[in-house]
Amino acid sequence: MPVVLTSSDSETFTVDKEVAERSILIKNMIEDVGESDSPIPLPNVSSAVLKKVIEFCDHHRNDPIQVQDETDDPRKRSNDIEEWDMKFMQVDQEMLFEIILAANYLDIKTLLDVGCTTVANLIKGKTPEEIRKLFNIVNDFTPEEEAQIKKENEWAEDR
Amino acid sequence: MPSANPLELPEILTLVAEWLSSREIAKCSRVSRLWYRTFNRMVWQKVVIGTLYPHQPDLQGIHKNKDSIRSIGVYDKRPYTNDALSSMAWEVIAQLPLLESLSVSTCIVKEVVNLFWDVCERVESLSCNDTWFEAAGDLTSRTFPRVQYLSVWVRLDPHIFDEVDLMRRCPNIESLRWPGHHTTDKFIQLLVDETWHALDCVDASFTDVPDEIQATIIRSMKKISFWRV
Repeated sequence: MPVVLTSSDSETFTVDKEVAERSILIKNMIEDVGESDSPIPLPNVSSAVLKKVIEFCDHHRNDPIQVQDETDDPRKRSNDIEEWDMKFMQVDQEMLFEIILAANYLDIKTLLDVGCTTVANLIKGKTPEEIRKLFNIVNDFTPEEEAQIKKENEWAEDR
Repeated sequence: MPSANPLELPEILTLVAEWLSSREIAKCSRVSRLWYRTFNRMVWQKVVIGTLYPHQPDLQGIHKNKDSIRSIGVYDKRPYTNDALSSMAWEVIAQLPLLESLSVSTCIVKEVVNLFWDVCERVESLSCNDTWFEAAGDLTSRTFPRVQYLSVWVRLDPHIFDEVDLMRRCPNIESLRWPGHHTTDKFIQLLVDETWHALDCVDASFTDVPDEIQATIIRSMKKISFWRV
């Protein structure tokens, strides 16, 4: 049975239930409300972003649902995200950020992981100043504070 | 959609950090105050000191970040030269409120031995491998009830103390790395006496004890579910 989703800008999307239920938020909503024809409103997600999210969920519709595993060390997972996911994430920064926020809100762990990996890959090899520039972050340290932290944490950057 | 910035949300930054090396995380702690709050904790969670590393935090830094430190490693370069750390360093370490794990390796422990035991009393995980003790200090008056994981392989004159002397003082061990060597008989006796009520896992992969003897021990054990050879 298909599910109807409504974006913040009132566009409706009809998707298969198994695709929609990649989102734990939507899955729980469907379980709470029961089978219903009425559309599910997603006031935090615009149509442009929702379209991308659905594309991702559709591609991964048959993946096993990831169970949170406490013993799973993310560093051992390495950074090899699937080629398809990597291509999927080749979007501008605004869209990347919105996908991350939507994945967080909709509770889609795999999409959130792919988004955060993409951000991590952007950070790698850059200096703090380059990171600030890239993400438009204001340096709100005083020069003294910044020098102090640099001195204190230098060991960890050099090891 | 309100254009919030996900990189201002601590829970998102924490997820991003999962994909970064500790070096990158240290760099991120310098980006902004908001990033500092998320990343600096991670920088200091696990601290490694000792002469093996050219770059290490100073005592001031350790003291300032004491609420983040959960694990301390002390690794010295061969050859053993002197007490691994000054007594001042051990005093600072002994005061870390959240310390859970201590790991020392290729160290020598001499003058600082009682401070060293002070730290051991506080941790849940204790590794002291390839470590040379020149004194036992007041070991005989101590127990280490918090220790759940113990790996101990020390070099010393057996008349000072041996591995088993330390093991028997940790009554709540769940997991143990057994070095074997000269302590086999004493160790077996402690197992038979059920010294460790919670012991579940023994790593015997580094022992030189023959397989037949290990097999005898395993057969006599009731509660141990994991024996690594």
